[in-house]
Parts: sequence; structure tokens; C-alpha cells
Amino acid sequence: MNNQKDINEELDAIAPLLKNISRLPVQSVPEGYFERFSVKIPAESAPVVKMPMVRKWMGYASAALVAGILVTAGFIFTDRNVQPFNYEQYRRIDVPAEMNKLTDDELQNYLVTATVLSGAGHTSSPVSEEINETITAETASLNQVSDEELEQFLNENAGNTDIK
Amino acid sequence: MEDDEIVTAFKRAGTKENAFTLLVKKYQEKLYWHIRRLIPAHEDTNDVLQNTFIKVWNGLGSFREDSQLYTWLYRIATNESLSFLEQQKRKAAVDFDQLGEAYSNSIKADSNFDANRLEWKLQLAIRQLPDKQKLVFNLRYFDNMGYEEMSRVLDTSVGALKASYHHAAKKIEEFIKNH
Repeated sequence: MNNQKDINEELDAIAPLLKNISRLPVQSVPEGYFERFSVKIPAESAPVVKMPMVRKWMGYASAALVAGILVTAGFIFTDRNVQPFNYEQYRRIDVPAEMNKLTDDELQNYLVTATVLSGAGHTSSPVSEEINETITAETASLNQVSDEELEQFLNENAGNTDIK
Repeated sequence: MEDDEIVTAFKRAGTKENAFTLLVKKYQEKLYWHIRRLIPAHEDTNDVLQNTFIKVWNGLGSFREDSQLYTWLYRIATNESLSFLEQQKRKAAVDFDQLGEAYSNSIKADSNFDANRLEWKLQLAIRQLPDKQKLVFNLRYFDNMGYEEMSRVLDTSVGALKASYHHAAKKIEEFIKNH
């Protein structure tokens, strides 16, 4: 730092007034500050150990494995109570035979309940009205058939169980 | 003890603390005034000086001995001072002129202040400069630093530093003549 001569020559050229001003500090400093000054070094922080690549990937693999187990377990436990639909069970049912086991009262009850539930009596759609008219007409024509004619019909069709 | 000896001693486990104490004793006053010329209040200067030496403690182990220690120390002190000033500006949300005025007031509040003395007029004039010009002027005028060394401290070309110093010196002289 032996630039004092150069600096003064430079100042002579650009700002001569500054050359003769004292460079000693003028601001006040607490008494004995420099004698007492000490640096408070913070306690050594724990060194940061960098994880090797292999351990890093092992960590990722473990995390993926745990995630996989959790997802699989989730599927297993949430689907546990849902039974698969057994088509075979229903295919083996003999519908006409099962129907024959029903009494007339049960059938009558079913028809009344089904009619009420479907609201057939209150519907105003053209298709429903047409069906109702057909049922009424058939019921009226059946009323005109005598008991003897009905008995004869049943005797002739006793062996035939197909309903079409 | 020479700077390179201090650095070597610092790098040895057994002499690290003694070397650091020597370094602090050798440079504390120079760095204090370098910081104080940028930051007017003693308490703030003390905080910045502490931070500077903590950075030195943390970095001296990896300091390359082909560099000059004092240039490196000035560089740390300068960066710490500028960071502090930036923080102050952000906190106060004031512009440069307002901050310059606040600093001028803090100079006038000093118990030694004498408005008629050229040294104090010089201090007030320096406060009017932008931070970078202030730094360049202080390093050359008060610390007798050569342009090459300043270039290493401030990461600025020698040409730009010379221009900056000339502008600063002229502005200061003008201020003193008018006040």
C-alpha cells in the first residue's frame, strides 16, 4: 500500500482541496472498543454428510416398495366384501317350475303390488294406456268363458309347461 | 507475523485459534473504519465487523495462499457492508436520497461533530455519493489502495474504477466548496 504519492499527485490534478485534509477518523468510538473487541465464533455446526448415490437410490426403492404395498393392501381390503355376481347360479334356476310352486294368492299379491309400485294405474303415457286397455279387454273376454270351457282347456294343456 | 504465516498457522489444528486472534488484532481497526465509512452508526458497524470475521473464520481454511489476504478481507467486509445497506434500504423502504439524508443526520449527531472542520465536511460530502462511488473513493483516499487491488476487491475494471474515483473526488470537492 505505497500509493500515497500517486494518490496525492492524482488529487493535485482532479481535486487539490482534498489533498490537505486529514485522513484520520473523526467519528467517535466507545472508549477501549478495539482493546476489548473479540469475535464471537458460533459453535461448530454439524457437518453435512452427503448421501452416496447407491444409498440414495436404495432410499427411493424402499419408498416405492412401501407405497406399492400400501396401494395393494388398500385394494385388497376395500374390495373384500364385494361378492362376484354368480351367473351360473341364476342360469340353473328352472323359472317355469319355480312359478308352478307359487299359489294363486301369491301371484295375485305380486300382481297387485307390482301394479301399485310401477304406478300403472296412474300413468298417462300412451303406451301404458294401450297396455291397460289390452289387459281390460282380455279380462272381459275371459269373463265370458264358462268354467267348463276353462276346465277343458286346462285338461288339454296339462303336460305343456312352456310359457310363451 | 506476515499474512501468509497467519494463513498457514490457521490451517494447522493446534494453532488455528491463535492465528485467528492475530489476524483479528492486525485487521480489526482497518476493517472497522472501512465499514464505518459506509455505515455511520457504531453499533451497526460492530455487527457487520463481527459478521465479517465470522465469514473469515469459516472461509480461511480454504483460502488460496496465492491471493492477498488483506484484499480478501476487504472484499468480505465490503460485501457484508453492502448487504447490510441493502437490508436497511428494504426495511425502511426509502430511496437513496432519503437514506443519504438519514446518514448525514447520523453524522451530525456524533459527539465529535464540528461543522466548521474540513474533515467533517468531507464526511458529509462522501455521504452524498452513490454506494459504489463511495466505496471506490474510500478505498483509495483513506486506505491508499492501488487500482489493481481495488479491482480484485470490487470485481470492477481498473478503467471503470479510475473514472469512478475521479467523479467522486470532483463531486466531493464541489460539495466542500459550497458548504
